[in-house]
Amino acid sequence: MLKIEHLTKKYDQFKAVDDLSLHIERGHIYGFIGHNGAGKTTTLKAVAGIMPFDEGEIIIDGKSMKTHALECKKIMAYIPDNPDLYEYLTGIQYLNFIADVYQVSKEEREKRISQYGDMFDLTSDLAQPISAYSHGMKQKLAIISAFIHQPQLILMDEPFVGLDPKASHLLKQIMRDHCDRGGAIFFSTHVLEVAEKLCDRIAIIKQGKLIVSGKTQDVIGDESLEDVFLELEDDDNVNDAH
Amino acid sequence: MLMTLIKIRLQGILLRQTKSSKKKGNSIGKLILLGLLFVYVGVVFIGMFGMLFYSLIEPFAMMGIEWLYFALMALFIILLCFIGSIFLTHHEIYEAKDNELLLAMPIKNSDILLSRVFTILILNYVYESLIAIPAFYVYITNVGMTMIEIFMFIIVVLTLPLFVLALSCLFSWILAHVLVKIHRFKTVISIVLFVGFFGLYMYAVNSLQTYLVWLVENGKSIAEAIEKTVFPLYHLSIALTKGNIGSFVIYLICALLPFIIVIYLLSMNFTKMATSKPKMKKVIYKAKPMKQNTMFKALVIREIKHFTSNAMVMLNGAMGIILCIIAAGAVLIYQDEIQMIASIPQIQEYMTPVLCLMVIAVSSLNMISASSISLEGDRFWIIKSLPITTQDILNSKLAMHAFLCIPGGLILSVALIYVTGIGMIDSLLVLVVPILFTLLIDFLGLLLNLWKPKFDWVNETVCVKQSLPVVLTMFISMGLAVVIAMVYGLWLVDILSITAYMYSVIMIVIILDVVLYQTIQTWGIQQFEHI
Repeated sequence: MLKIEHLTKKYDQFKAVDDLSLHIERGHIYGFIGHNGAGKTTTLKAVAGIMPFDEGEIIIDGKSMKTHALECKKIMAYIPDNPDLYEYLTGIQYLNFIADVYQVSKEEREKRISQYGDMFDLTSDLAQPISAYSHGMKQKLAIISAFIHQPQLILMDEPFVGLDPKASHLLKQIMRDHCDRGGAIFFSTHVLEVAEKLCDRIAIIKQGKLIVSGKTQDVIGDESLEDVFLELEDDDNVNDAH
Repeated sequence: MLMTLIKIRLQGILLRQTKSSKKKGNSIGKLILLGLLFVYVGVVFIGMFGMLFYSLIEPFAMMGIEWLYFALMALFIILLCFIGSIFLTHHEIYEAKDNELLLAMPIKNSDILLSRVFTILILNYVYESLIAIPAFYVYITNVGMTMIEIFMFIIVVLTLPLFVLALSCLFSWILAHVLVKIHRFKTVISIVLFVGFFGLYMYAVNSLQTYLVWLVENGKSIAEAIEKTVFPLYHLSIALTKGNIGSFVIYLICALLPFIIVIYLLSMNFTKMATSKPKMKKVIYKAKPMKQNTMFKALVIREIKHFTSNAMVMLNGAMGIILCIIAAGAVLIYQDEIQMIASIPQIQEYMTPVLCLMVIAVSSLNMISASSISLEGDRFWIIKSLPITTQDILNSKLAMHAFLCIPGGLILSVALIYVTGIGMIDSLLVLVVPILFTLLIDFLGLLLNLWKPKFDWVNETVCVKQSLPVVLTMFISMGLAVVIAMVYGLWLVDILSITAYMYSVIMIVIILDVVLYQTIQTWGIQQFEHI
């Protein structure tokens, strides 16, 4: 579904992402872990087509992001770490805008807005301007907008930040369902317990370089993800669980 | 603590003015441009007020009411500073983004308030200098001043903006109170207030000559009225013209006391006002049948909703639309006078180009596209991550400018055509030429914004007030009408007929339209994708 090959992104001389390669298959929830400034958001933004990159290749469902950005974007959705949405629109106007962009039919959008809106307890607030929403409500709206066109690949940057426990639980369920139906999810998180339980595969990034990746069980072994992460953070050697 | 807060605010202002969004450090080009802009505005205003004071000093001296000169100077300063800083005061005090952060720290409310007030005070001193400098120069060269009077003048210059601050703080307090209660109509109220003040200003400027004559003719009775009713102004004037210390003390008390009282009252209410959330009646969503739009239509609707959501953005970016409608009304009201002018045979030859230029000049204050990229701000990720071609995104921005600005120009064109009764071909030109010009400014504004986008703003108003693309677009669009007229008047009047010149200009504008649009579709697209 997603192939990142030797991705490098520089800010002047600083390499935010350094020769990173990852393969994400359909059906997988792939967790992306690293300390602040490790290069997670930069990688996600490059995959989402928001940020141009210097070297490497990003292939989504067999198409290159460099040459077929539009086709790539049509089958994916991106949820940023800070849901800065169009505050001048109401929730329903925003969802309709996204649905118009993805050309979701009237019937489909009505069904999905009602389904996800009810699921996240946001339906009654959809007529409110987004400027009146709390952080959590904006996050919920961003999540609903991501699912409205049924993308195959979903990119999420810290999706659980700001969500209440019920919404967090729901999101985990939806993520699992999405992947069980053949989709794929690539998300970054600092909540290691969630990553450990939810992810089929995990990648850990440090100073722009991938230091470990593979099946969750292979990466953590008998330890907790937290222990593994802290050990790897102290260790400069690059390992591969495969 | 107060000094630290003031320093931070000044640093913020300086950074906003000089730092380009991507490059580190200050942009020298931007500094030069800003400097030129200040010099231009300064020269225009100082020249205008200098002429005004020059025409007043002699008759007042002859009538023995020199003091009225300084009363009028103070009155002009109060008005200019009040109108110029009223909305900034509201924004700086009640809508600042760091209010909650600072309130959570062990800082006195009065210090937070004073640090914000200081920013406005600097702006007021700039406004004041446009009036005080020519007033001082004209007076000292014509009448002369003693050292004590000069000293008092300096103190007056330093303290008068404090009185204005008291007024604008009070007004912003009332405004904040009102806006908290009627948040839904914030945009409409802001527009009505702004247009009201602007109308008042325009009316005052247009009537200046009439009032000047009236002032000179009725100087004595006005002086008596001021002496009896606005006694602080009278005492200010007596202090400056006669060096009267008693009057000077009375003026100082009148200027400083309101400031101290207002600051005290505001600091008492600051926490409540700065943290009040607008009372919004919750609208419960009721599912309705939905409509599917094309992607392009959805993009244009989004652009228009964004633009119309902020009164200050609308007023700064689309003043031309409002002026076109006001001008169309004025044309209909004064149709007899216009018809009389239009019937003069020497004028008739120039009628069509003049009408075209009129519409162009009035609508040149539309700079919507010049801030449309910058206004995306931290929501830029949305359109970048969606499957939308860059061409569609840029075209939707161009379309918004055209959809909003062309009708305003057409209304004025139709009014002019109706009143002047020009022929079919001429009417067509008066309708089409302003459209071509609107497109030119539309394309130019977008290109300039693609060249210098600004995303690191805290408030959207910064994009439309302080960004280089907007300033450049404004100068070019306003200058174009003047340049077109000047080129013909100075160099081509004996070589080309006005009709030939008009058609040549139309051809040049069409060529420029095509070239700029093509540049957007090539360089512009590349530039957008690299932002």
